[in-house]
Amino acid sequence: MLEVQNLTAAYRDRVALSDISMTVRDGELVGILGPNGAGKSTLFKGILGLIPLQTGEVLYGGRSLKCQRQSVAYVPQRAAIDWAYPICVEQAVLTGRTVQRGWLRFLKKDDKAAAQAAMERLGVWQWRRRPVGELSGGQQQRVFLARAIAQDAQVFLLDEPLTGVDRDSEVLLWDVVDELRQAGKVLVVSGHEWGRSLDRYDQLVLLNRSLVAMGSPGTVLNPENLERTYGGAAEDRSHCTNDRFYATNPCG
Amino acid sequence: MEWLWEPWGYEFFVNALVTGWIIGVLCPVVGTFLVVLRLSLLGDAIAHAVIPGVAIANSLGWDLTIGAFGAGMTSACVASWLERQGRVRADSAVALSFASFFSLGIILISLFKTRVDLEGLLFGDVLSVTYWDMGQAAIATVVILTLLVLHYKEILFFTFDPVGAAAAGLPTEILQYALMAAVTLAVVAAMKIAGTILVVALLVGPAVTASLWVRSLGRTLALAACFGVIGCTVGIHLSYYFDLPSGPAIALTLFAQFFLSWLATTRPGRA
Repeated sequence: MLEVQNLTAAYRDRVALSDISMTVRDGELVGILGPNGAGKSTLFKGILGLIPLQTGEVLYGGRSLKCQRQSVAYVPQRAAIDWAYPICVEQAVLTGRTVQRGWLRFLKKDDKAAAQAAMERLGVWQWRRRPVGELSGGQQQRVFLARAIAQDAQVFLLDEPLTGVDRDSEVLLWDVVDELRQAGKVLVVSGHEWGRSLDRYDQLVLLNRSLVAMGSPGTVLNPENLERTYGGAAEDRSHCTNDRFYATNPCG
Repeated sequence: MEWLWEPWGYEFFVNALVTGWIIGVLCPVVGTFLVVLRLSLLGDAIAHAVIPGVAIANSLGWDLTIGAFGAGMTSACVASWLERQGRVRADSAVALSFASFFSLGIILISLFKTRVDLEGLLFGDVLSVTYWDMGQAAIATVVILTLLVLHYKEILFFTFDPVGAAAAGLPTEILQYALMAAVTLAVVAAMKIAGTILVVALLVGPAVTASLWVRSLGRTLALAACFGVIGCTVGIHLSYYFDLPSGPAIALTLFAQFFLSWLATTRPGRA
């Protein structure tokens, strides 16, 4: 179980996230929703310990997550990667084995076997010799999810994994996410996708510098919460369907 | 053909050439990481910043290498600290740091009235290379290449995806400072031949040229080292035959490699 307790983070004097507390059980898929600048990436960086926290701590299995980073797989936003970097698909996936193998040890056959299995599952094995920069957005996201799986982590943090992704890749990514959920992994996904796809989440977190609401999609997605999360723009982007509230194009 | 072997009869030339081969491997290998991290300016900055260390070491009677390394690392740390404060952009911090250190160096040389050959230091001088310089360059190269081989997977992860590497628990700050130390060592090893102004050409040029031909880090490193050795060999010979400063001779040879590679790898119809 992943526990975020009273997390407050600031960049210099500006508070980016205030007093966030949330719990994600093993085998649970949690979606983080909020407008641009709401602090979704900051929340991930806070969980990962990549930015100094003013208050709060993050625990996994009752122990500080900082002490068990090898248990965490992080898929960054596509914009965070320099796609001109000279690296092929297989090498990129193998970076997920770096910490598992440890310092002063070369990668071995079982590392390559784990990477191969992950690449085959994500359908990128046939491109293993190609530079990652030459792949499409969807293929690149599949490479990064393959890396996360090769890492054999328990906690998966996926930062906007569906941005710039084609339909086939999206279906495959969700299939793999479902498999990971069934395998008892902790999954936290931030994103902009809306509509009925939100039903696939066990819990949704509405974020706007602070936690607006957290709970099942049916209880969280109501006009009041969306107003508090997105402001007046939510009204233009939403409609009610079958007594449930769904926003249709919040990114627009 | 006798003219071709003539320079081999001179000890200074052999010293310079062998040292050129050593730094021809070291600088492009280290420089490849600057290129892939888009930190080429940092190499230039460290190279300029070694001057005050040379001036101070010379006035105190120390080995110039110690002063140069200390000043280079100090400037890199100052630039890094300024950047981490988040109040100025990284490129501005680097530019400001190296201009200040370079200016300080020139003023110290003037104040101390040291016997440092400023022109040789800035543009390179094959006559100044000694066995001691060759040995230092060789030791620096062996140490850096050994560390690179031992930590290749960590360095690959860190340079490809710094945030992902930090998230996975790699000590990225230590790796960043290790890279700066490696760049500084390479600059110090190369400064007598390439000159502090033009050593950036040896750091960056072969790596950029290699990146035109290959698309993996390992191959880029190997090919960059080949271009570096060829560039130093040709440049040092040009320096001898035409009585040129060695730094510009090497830099222009490296640019010629780049230009020819550019032409050779440009496909018709592709911008």
